[in-house]
Amino acid sequence: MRCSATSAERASASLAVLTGLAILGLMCALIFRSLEDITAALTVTRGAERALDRASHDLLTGTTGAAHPPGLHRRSVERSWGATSLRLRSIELHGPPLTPQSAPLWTRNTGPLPLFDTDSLFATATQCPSPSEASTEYTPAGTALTRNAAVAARTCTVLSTTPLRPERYTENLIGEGPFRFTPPTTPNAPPDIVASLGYVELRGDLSVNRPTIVFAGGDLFLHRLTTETATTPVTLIAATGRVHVSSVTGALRLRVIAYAGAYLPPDTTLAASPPLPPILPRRFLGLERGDE
Amino acid sequence: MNRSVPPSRRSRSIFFHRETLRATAATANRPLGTSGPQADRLEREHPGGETCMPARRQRSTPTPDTGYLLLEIAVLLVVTVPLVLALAHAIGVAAALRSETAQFARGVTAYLRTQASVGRAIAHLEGHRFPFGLTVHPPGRLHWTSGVPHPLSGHVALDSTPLSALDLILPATATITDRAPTGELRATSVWGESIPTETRLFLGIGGEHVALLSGSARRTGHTPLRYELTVHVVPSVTVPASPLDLAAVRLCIPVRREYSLFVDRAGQLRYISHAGAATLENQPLLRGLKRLTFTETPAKPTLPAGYHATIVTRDKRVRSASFVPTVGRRPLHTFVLVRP
Repeated sequence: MRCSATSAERASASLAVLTGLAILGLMCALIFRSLEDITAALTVTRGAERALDRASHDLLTGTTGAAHPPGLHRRSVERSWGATSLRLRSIELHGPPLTPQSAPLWTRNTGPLPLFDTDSLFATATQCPSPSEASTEYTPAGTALTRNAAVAARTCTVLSTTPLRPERYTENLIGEGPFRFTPPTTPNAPPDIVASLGYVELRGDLSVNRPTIVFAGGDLFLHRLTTETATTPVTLIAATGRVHVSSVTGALRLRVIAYAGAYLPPDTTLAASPPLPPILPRRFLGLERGDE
Repeated sequence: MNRSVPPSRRSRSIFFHRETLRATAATANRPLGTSGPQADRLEREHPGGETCMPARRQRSTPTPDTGYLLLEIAVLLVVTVPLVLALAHAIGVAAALRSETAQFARGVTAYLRTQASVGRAIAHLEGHRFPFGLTVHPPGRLHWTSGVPHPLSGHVALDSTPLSALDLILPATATITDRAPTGELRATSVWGESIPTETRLFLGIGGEHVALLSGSARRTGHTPLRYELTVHVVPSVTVPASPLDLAAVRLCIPVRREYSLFVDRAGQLRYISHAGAATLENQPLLRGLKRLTFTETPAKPTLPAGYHATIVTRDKRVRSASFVPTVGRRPLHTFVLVRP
């Protein structure tokens, strides 16, 4: 009887040990499996981040290659890590190629406007001392604005007593003129730029004696444009509106760029040589994920 | 009694040896149950074998086997008990480790899913370059950009920071060409991409002012794509509040969704989809969060804005993640002057 009981106890003890070891092994396997899952998840996340970084870098720093027609374009970059792949697209806006042979006058009928670099143009905007609220349909003088042309929410009025300097305004610009831009002191000085994000309306005479650019985000209305020197180059731009000049006198080499058309005196001659504000070949608008 | 018993079986039977019986009888100095000729007869019947005496006779007299048995049990206990205790402890430790690992795994999973949700919200900023589109609210508060509290603001965990994001469909931008006498805005697609029919939110841009518009778009022409938009200005959690009149709207960009992410007071990461003042969706994304806070590093001339999220899971582990959108912000006018 003693020998039989001892064997049973030993067998049961062995069974308990084996069961314990099996449970322990199972626990270890489960723990390692959990750790393996966590490591895999972290690896995938890190891989995705790296792939995204590389794709973004390629899109933002890469060149466009062949020339694109004006308009919206997408460029795709695909990156993969493991079994997962990512497609990232850049949304880009391409402007028309600008050459000296390009037509000096752009309207809705002749094609899209160049992409003006308004970032740099308005980087040093002038603070208007006393802006007033603006109407979206008429100027203070009662001139009707082009429907859908850009209009700033406030208007800056420059009186004839204060000289109009070549400055940039984020408001609509009203000039009670006359205004006279003096000749440059240095021969290669950059052109004077009068710019506004909204409309520009100069009611007095504007006398320019050096290369000048008048840039309006919306409409551009000039009463009389004149010069005292020979062959002064002048560029008039209405990015989303129309250019309207009542009178042009003197030896001006005039270039007009208008989205909604130009209304000039009948005998006005245009030229392609006057200066242009900074122009972008393409504008990067944003990124799109391939999985969206 | 006469049957033959195998020696091996006999040796393990319950009867005593005859020598033991005799020794016992001699010691007791009294006759056995069988004596003299009867004993001889038994000797003849069971040569060298056992006599049939009941085992209970043994109880009254301990033998060396009893001690041996007790010693063996004691040794067995000494060996087995520590082994069993060690095994039980090992199982306990393994179970605790398993529980800890499972909790850690849940925490890591909650962290990774939260990081993915937040990363996706911040990635919407890369879909455009406007100087808005992501709002980091104050802790425990969700409010419109006008400053008015959102109706669900009371559900936000007090020490958590809600995050609101705007998802735009930039390529489907439409320019407003006219306004119908009945008030609808007539629009033309700028780049020829159609506005999804299910779109109910639009971003209206006019001058330097923007507003979130709610309504619908009805297609009225195909070449070019023309629409009639019936919209009105609604409050937003991402678009800055500005006095934009519908007459001043020049561009309309369809909005895929405007939504907020926050940890509610039950420790759930919650997704709220807005449609102006109305709430389209209000659902939990995952459980097991204790706190989620964001800090925003403002953009500098040479550095883009950055977002830092601190995620505290239920196991009280603090994990953090940083997000830096690849695309920089630009003033609104760079987009306002874009025309087809």
